[in-house]
Amino acid sequence: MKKSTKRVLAMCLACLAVLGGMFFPVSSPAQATDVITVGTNAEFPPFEYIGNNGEPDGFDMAVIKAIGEAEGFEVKITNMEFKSLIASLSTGSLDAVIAGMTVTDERKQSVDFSDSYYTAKQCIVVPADSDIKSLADLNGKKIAVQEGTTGDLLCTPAEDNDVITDANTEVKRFKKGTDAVVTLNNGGVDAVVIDKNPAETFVANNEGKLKMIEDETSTEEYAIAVGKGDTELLEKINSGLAKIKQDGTFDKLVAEYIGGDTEEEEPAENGEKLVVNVGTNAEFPPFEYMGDNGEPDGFDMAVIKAIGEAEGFEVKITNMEFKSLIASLSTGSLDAVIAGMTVTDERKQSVDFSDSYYTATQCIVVAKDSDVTGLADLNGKKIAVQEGTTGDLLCTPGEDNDVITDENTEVKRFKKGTDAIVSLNNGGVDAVVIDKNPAENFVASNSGKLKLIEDDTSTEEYAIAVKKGDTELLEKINSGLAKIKEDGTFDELVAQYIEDNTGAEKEASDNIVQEFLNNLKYVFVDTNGYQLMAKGLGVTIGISICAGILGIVLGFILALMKLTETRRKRKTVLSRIAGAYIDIIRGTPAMVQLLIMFMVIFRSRYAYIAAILSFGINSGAYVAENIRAGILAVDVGQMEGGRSLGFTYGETMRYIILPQAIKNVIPALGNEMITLVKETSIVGYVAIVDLTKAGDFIVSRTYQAFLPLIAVAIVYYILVKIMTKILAVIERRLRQSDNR
Amino acid sequence: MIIVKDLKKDFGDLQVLKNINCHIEKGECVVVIGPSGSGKSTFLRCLNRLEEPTDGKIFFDGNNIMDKDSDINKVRQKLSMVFQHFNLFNHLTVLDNLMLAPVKQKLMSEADAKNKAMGLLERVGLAEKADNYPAQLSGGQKQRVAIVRSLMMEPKAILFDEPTSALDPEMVGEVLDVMKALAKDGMTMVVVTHEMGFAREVADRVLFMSDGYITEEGTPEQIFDHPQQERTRAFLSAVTQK
Repeated sequence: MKKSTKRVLAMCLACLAVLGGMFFPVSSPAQATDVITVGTNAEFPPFEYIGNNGEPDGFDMAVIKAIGEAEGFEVKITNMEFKSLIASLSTGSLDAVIAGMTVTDERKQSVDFSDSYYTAKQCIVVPADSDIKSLADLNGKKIAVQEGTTGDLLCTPAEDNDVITDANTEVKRFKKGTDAVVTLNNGGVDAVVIDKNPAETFVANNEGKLKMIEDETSTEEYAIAVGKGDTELLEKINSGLAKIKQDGTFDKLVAEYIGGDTEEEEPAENGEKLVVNVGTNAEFPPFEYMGDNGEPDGFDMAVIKAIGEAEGFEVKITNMEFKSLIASLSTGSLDAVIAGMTVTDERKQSVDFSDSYYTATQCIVVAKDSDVTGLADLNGKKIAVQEGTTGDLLCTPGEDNDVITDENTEVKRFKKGTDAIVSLNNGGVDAVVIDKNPAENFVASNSGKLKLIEDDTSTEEYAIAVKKGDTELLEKINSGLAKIKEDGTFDELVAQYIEDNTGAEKEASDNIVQEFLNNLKYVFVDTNGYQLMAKGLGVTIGISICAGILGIVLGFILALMKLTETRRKRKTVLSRIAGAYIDIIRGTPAMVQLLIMFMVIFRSRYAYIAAILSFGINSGAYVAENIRAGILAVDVGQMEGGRSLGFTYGETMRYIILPQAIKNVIPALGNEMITLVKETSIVGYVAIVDLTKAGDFIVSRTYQAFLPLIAVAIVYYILVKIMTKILAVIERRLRQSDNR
Repeated sequence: MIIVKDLKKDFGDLQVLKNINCHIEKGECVVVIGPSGSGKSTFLRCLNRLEEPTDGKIFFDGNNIMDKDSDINKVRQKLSMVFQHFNLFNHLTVLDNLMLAPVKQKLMSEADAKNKAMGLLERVGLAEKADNYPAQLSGGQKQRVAIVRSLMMEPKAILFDEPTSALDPEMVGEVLDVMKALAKDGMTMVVVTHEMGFAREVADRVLFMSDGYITEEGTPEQIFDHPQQERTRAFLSAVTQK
């Protein structure tokens, strides 16, 4: 789906280019050093797992990268299902596989194996009180394995399996080893059979609850697999393996990843790394903005991650509204905030600040031909600011504001700095007051149209905020900050993010058509806008479909509950419950329901589930009334006709009333589904990047509002148009019996 | 076949049926006449409990259908009803209308039901309409299909609730002809109607209802030619003057 959408978008752009009579110079990535695509399945710690940065990490990854370095090729890791790895080698989409893969004769039919780099034993993980002692004891038991692994082969009863012979042995195959262990903990299975090293990690993480039994009969060799007959690569890998074994790199990696696993590496207790939830508002470049991968990026993100690395904690970034950040610290859903936040006395009431990591100056951004020269000139003007920022404080007339004193000064507060700039460009305001660094970026991206005026009176300190009284975390952050300042990391980041901030640049042109095409390319291609939109479209469709189904099911149940009232000719418990549900849901805004679901009920986790539930529940109320009306619109004679033939109420409903009601309901139901699709555009508030939010990001990355927003509107329109067509077809089919 | 004892029906404060007693014998065709508002339709609809009686007893085939243990759905399978507005299932073809109840209630196989339906349609002259939807039929055709639908259940008695009142005059005859044929074949029938000609020709017995009571009953000759009650005479002269 995503891929084809990408292709369609790319084709559309290409067509536009051809129509304009010219081609884009499509930048083709230079074919530099050899790139080897290596597949893995990052669910097998410590050999492979998803690291803190979201990329596969682990012993195997380190080994293959070290081999690549030794042999001078670049390694590109692709994470996929374990089952697909060998097939992908055959089709050539992978060059090699390193995935804790055991050498077996079966596999040798399909792939060639390198020299073995590790010898592993299969282990049985069981609850601490289990009486299982060996593989043979598993006969007739429930066993969990990771699909397609050696454990799977060992446990599955088959002709060539002389240990597990009981055909009643139930083998549950999980995609992930961790899921197998969770099932064991929940009592869903009696044992998990898995390689020794991950087994040790699992047992360590579930201290006291699980124990491990080694199976001496099943010693295995791990090796790297390449496509059958690819001797060139195989030789390279074997030679590289030999080299890193010789120079000690290999042993180092063993020690780092496998040998001394939990004890030395991780300072936190329980073998678990401390996770610090850090909030930001990715609308303040270059400090924080949405990166190309849809995740928050920027100076602040790099700083906090560096601090985390220095202090040994893991950083989990959550993107939210700037205004909500401090509140989230107080409720504990965030541990720290790094968001270009200025230290103010006001904020110190609610949070504790770390040492300052950056000094900023407030700036005034105005149109090139403006005569504003200082903050005082803004009296009586229209000023745009980012809500809740220092700029907001500076510009808002108030008792303690001795610069802006004119009560008629109009301050427009935007959620995002970029929106403020867009408003300035559109002539909606006379000036934008904002921190210096983003201001410089804005002016640079709108070259020629804007200028920047520094206000030296308003120097500010940026710092990291933590919950009031959380001195432990504060000390860690300060110590980490000191460390990265000392070792030069901090200066590197300043250089990388703030001083040298060259993103994709739009090419300028005098030709209007060319200018438009350049814009198009800049907005959708150069800055990966089409990717964001395709992803967002997928999210919008996914949430809509799930919520729609939930809504229809709920609505149907509620309608039947409410109809008990019509049948009994008095209110019933069921009809009262359904009535209250519909009353409450229809009486409150979907937006508020979404926020309550996400923040209160789900405590700011599982945003997608919260969104689907919220929209499904909301939609259910409307669908219920539609269905009820549709059922009531069926002539009472139909019910009497059915009952008079000896059908029960339920049978009459099922065979006679509902088939006719559906016909009545379809138009209204379709309407509701269309509304639902568009209503999902508010999921941006719970940090889900749907189509609308994607458009929003493109605006904030390109400082262009027209193209991205029109594009988003068009995509919604097409989506709704498709739904309308489908509905028309369904309706026509259902109306068959009305034709005279 | 049907015995009614002390049947009463209130709609809120309004007493529609005050005290009804009557016997309907097997194979008898009983026509119920009377001024509008006299409770004729309510009486008929109480007989299969489509309208829930307030009080009284109704015996069908020897069993009190007002009894808590009696399964009204089983009773209705054998005590069909034909409605003023036909109440055909609009989303189903004629054939499916006929087959739905016998097949879903597992009274006969689909093939048997189809054979039976086609045979009955043939008898009422509508075999070629089997695959049409109700919306494509005239009123008279719809009512004939409705009668066939009740016959599909192989009922012991059929209740007719003003079966010709919603029809254009030229279609009344075709429906009455079907009903006459049924009466001739010995079907037990209770018919609420304003068709005095039909009553006179076909009825074994005529019940005259007024104000929630059966005020007079007898053979068609007794009622139409020698009415005893003043109300009956007034009603008949009003109807025949038309």
